[in-house]
Amino acid sequence: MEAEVRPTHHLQALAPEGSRRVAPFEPRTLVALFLLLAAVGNTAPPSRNHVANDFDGQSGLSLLGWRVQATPAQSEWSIKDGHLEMLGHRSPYKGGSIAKTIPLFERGVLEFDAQFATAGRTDYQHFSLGFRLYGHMTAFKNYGTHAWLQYRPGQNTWATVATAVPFGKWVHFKVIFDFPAKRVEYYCGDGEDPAFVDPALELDLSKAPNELVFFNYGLCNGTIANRIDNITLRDQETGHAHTPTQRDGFVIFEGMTADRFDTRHLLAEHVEDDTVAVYRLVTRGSAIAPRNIFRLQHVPGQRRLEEARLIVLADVPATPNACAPEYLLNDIATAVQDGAHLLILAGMFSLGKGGYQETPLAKLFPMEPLTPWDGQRFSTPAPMTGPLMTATPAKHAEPTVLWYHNIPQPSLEADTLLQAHGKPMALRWPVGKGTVTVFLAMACGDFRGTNQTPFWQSPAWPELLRGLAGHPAD
Amino acid sequence: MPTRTGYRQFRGTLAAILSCWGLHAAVGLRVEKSQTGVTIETTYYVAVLAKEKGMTFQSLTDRRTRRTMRVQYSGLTVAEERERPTWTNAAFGQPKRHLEARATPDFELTGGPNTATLVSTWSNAAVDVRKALTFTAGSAVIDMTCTVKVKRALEDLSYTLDVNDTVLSRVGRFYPGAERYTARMPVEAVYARAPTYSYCTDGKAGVGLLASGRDDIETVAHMTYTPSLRRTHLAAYTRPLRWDTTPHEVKLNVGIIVGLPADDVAALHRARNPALPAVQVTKFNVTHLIQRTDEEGQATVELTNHTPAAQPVTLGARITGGITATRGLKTRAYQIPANSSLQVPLTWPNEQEYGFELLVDVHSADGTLLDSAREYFAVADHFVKVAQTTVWNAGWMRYDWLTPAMVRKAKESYVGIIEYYCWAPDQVFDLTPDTETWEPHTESQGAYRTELSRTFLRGVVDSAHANGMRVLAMDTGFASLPGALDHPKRVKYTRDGQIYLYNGNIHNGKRFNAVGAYVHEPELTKAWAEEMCASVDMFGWDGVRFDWNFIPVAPQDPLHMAGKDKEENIYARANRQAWYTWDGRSAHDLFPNPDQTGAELCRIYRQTVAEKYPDFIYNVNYSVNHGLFDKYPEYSAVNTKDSGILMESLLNTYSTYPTWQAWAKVLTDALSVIRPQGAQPFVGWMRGYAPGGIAHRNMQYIMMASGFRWYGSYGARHSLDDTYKRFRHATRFAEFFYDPDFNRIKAPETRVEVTGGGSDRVLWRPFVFERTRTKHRELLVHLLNLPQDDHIIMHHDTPAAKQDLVVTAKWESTSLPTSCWLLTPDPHPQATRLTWARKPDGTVAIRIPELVSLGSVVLVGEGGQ
Repeated sequence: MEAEVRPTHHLQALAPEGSRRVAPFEPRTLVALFLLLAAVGNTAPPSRNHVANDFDGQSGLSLLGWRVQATPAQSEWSIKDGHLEMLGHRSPYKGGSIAKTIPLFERGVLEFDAQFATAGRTDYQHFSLGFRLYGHMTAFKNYGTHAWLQYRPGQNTWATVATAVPFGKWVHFKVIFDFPAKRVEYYCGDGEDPAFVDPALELDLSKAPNELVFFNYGLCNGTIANRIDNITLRDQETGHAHTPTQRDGFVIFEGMTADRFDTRHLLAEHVEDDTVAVYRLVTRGSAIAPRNIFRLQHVPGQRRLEEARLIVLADVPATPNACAPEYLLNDIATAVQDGAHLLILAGMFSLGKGGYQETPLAKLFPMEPLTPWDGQRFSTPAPMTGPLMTATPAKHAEPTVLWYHNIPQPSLEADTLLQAHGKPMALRWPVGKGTVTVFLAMACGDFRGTNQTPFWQSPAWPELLRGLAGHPAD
Repeated sequence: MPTRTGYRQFRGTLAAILSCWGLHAAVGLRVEKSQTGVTIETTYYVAVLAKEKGMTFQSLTDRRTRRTMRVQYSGLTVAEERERPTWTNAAFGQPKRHLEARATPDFELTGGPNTATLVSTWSNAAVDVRKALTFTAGSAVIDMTCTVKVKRALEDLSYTLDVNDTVLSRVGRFYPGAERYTARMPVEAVYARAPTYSYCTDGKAGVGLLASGRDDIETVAHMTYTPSLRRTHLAAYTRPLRWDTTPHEVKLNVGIIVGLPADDVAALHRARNPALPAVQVTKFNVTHLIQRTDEEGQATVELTNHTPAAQPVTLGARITGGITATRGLKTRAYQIPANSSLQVPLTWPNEQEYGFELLVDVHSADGTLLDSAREYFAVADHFVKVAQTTVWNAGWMRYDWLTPAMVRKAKESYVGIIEYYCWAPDQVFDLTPDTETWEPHTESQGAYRTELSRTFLRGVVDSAHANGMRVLAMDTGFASLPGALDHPKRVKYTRDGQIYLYNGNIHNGKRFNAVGAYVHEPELTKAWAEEMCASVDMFGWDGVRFDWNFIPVAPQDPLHMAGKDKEENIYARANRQAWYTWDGRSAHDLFPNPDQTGAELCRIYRQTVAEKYPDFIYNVNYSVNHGLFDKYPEYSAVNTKDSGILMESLLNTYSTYPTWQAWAKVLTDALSVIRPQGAQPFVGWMRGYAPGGIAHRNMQYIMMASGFRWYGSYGARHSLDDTYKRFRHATRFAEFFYDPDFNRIKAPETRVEVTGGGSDRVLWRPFVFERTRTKHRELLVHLLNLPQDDHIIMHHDTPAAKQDLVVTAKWESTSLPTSCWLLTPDPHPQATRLTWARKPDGTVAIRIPELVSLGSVVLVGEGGQ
């Protein structure tokens, strides 16, 4: 029989800054464990800046500060084998709960682990376990897929936070909230990126109860056993206004022609894997009407962008339907202002074609205006020239371009890194503490019969791309 | 350790047998027991049976070669009925199956000096099973006798023997016939009717099954699995059991053979079946299922002499077309050596179109009929007049080793057209892959990732052609993402200025997107057609089947352009949004008359291909019943003229058209629209039924009677899915189902009345047709014997045959009918002469003595144009 793997996320959650990728049982983890045990033992009352319960001691729920608000017919809550166990009975909308008074944090992080339906899984066919943080409610529902849902009281709707939440093993959950900024990031599992970001959460803290509540929704067919462990809540005084000491990350958004740019591999060749985060744009469903349906498979958390040295948007559109959501573009713009380098690799889905005219990024671009129909084709493949090419070894076949974004008014303050037949192909200018580079050549066109090499297939392209990215590995 | 103290009777339960004993008979039977099971050895084999597998075989060792074949699975498979007793507005799922190897039987071992019998009994909610395996000294046969008390409705029962042996799977041949046959799953196996046997041997080791046909075993099946599995499959199946009233009892007797040369197995088969004819037609193959009018017909007959003496025989052959137009081929005499087979070729000139029966009979020297066999084929240059259609796709049908089996299975089920689905590197810009291998865009959403090769696809087409079948290249009309990026001026754009992506997926990091192509200019359409011509040059396609339309302002899915809610459905709303050209021109501005433009582009495409390939058949997924002929009259006319028309919109028999009457109406209404165009409809992809059930059978009969062809799956000949019987009938009498000259009479009550016993449960009104030709007139009425309930997707008992029906018809001619026939499908397609009488009111009363399933009344006479 396999030994049960108990979650250790609470260690990471309380670990010092910068230890985000530390594996369990490394020395500094053990130090953190020691600090944790010393500072926040089971019986410790809630401190000003954190709450922690791992249920490993002998204390009862009341000693840990939890108030059981359930009849046996609704639900049963107990500490068992080092975790909190909920036996949730069918009791629609009145399934009982446990609550704990908590400090009021405007910005903070809630984390816990849960194991779902360790018994009664066949009866788990609707809402079961849920929790409320300062009244903000999310719950888990098994209906088609096992999903984590967020309730939006103003709209009286549920938004999907995550799907396919695993059964049979402990799952780590994290909620990073910044109520003044109306922003909440939800993490499910061990991933470093949020499963969902709500950029517009309306929560009136002046009316919100200072409570953390776990409850039984009571909508399932029979009794379900759910387990909870390692509940921590900590203040994050600076919220998301985190200023990294060093920008070392690469954040690459891959759009429809990203494969041709091969950004991920070419840029990652000289850096460590764990500094590169990739987010892919995908089509979703059938676009019956002639309007594309896109979404980003994942989105980075705010912290990721705060730590980014280079952000690449490889033919990624912002529209339609805010496929690159405004909060994300705001985060990118902020990151650039704070020192990141933004590289736009244009294509048939970006710049004017990507709807950036109306986004926070538009003002960062060294040209205007952006229009959907600025795609142009040279009559024959045009060789690229310019300072960036000078740095490209002459032995390589000359990279040429056929399709490009025809920009009528490049900013005079921008450096033209590349051009073709007198048209700018790459522009760069400083923005705040950072830099923005826009590559206007598209990885498009039929070069057959021309005896010319498309730039993205040219042996010079890897070096050219690194030049566009500002040689980030140097 | 096992003991060897001589043979003694042993009785015990599972616990008792743990005591481990064995015995040794002087005549070569040895039995050993261990904690894990029983080992039984004769001079031919060593059989190991495992307790953990329900006391079924774990391994079989051929003692001649000392090769041990691990048994992957053996034992009974109980398939419960999947049909529900009532209609539920939902399709059927898969049947629940019970495997003997997962049972925990009680068993006892008994025997005498020369035999040992292992009896195992087990039960579940569906069956009580008593199975005996008898091992006999000096015999290579293990006799399996099984009595099953059936407590729940079953589809069938089978006994399976799957062995893992690398050599056998790689080079083994199945006897009789010495053929190799490799497929993916048991439903694709070769099924032969009992009495028969199937023995797989590589010339050294071997294993097989014998069935006498004197019990409830009806067929024996065989195949070699997918090469990587190294597995040989043998199985014996009962007749369909779904109509037996429970509880009932089923008996299965199967001989399991190990360790014999192939000739000895044949001798064993003969010895066990003394009633076999001296000379039998053991194979009968018409070379081309669909023949061209100018080609010479060819067939091969295999005659097998089951006696130890040479047999002089004569072989006669007759071809029957039309209703009973018969011509004889030259009778020839042959001498067949003892215990041998002889291949006899037949040839004939083709003289007319549509379906034919080729009947061969073998007579002894004294004129006694020894055996006869029938096979069926069709003659047509416009092959959609006679052929049923299936679909193969690159997700599974992409291995050279699979082609022979799939072509054979399709041909044996009388499926004349293979549509190869979503195969091209790019379905607009590249129908002629430059490289030997490529990754096609699969389904419209790039549903999965796969790889094809030119050699493989050419092999599919060549193999199909060699068997007289045709292959269509399916085309979604979507470009690929790489194709679109290479040709930005030839794709559609959204109002955002983005290339219009219909759908897509990422597989293993690679993007697959379907892109709306811009082909709406004459030269672009022509280029596309020329690319198809080049593709025909490369692969040999016989036609195309578009899942697309040439109407420039229409949603991507052609099924929803019109219809009852044409102003409100999501497709109509979608259609109000324009797409754009690369430079921002709106399609709504560019194409003020989409009907006219679509017609012109469709005409250009068809003409361009037809100029080079006049026989190329244009097929398209199009909706007749949703108002398209009203909304796009000019395009509809060009699009459907002499085309194959897939009506995917009419496939839903479990929900949208849930009754026999509703489905027949919608099909025949559609037929009435397109038959004047010379178009041939097909419906599918058919799904949701249980193979071989009454629902399945009657759906196919309605499909045929409505002038439609099947677009869907089919079972192997003689398997539970007996589709081949309907397709055989549709092939033989294709003229009466698919000749466009048969005009449907829309007010049938004014011409025909059906009366007599049970006529209220006979469906005929949608199926009244008339054909008039020079001095020739025919009235055609298809009659379908309906079960008690009108809903399709549910369990139906076999309806009792209707007796003494009378079809009264107005015969609108001054002359009397000359003959009247009833065309019926079982036991084989045949025409039976009917009696008729002219009544005083001028009508003709035709008496039908019996209607079992489908009967097509053809009243023939003079008159006409």
